[in-house]
Amino acid sequence: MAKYLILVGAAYGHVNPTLAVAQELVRRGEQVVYYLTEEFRASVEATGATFQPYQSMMGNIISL
Amino acid sequence: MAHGKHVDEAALGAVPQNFLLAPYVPQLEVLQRTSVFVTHGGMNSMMESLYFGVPVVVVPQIIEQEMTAQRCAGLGLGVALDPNNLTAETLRAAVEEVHQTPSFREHVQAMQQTVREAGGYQRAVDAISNFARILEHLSVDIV
Repeated sequence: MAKYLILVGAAYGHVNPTLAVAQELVRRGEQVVYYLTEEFRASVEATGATFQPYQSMMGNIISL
Repeated sequence: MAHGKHVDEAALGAVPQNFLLAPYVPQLEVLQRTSVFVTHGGMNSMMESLYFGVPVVVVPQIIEQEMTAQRCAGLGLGVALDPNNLTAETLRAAVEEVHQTPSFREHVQAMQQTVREAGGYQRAVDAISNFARILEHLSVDIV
């Protein structure tokens, strides 16, 4: 089992395309960890990956 | 029209009866009932439009989307508009052109087949896993 860390910008356009990849990695028995803002917790946890929160300094700049 | 969470619908004024306004729409479901997609040309929206075989009118907002818009126009998948010179008339004309010209739909349908046969997330995970295995072998050799 390998351990994967997924770091993408905290915006839906960046997060969404990674979710199916994370879910498939988890399904194949890999360990997957995301660091993202709280807003994405439910989406990440639904894939089976581990969610680790951080506070973004970007605010609403990229969450259009 | 999906306008996101920062637009006050009241500020947009009256809209025609056949025009639906909402902060968000379930895009994957709506695209399956769509003839022409007017989009900013974000990569996800583009891939989703191609997946469902819907030709596009792209109104790009940032440089990466401008490149996507030009690529779409070049491949005959739709029309690219200049957001700085956009009027109701140019938008309407572009939508009508894309809707009424059969070649756009034909090109999009060919691209739809390519997109659907590309392998998606499963092929992506295959590639990631193969790369991880190569790294494991390398680290063993170094030790």
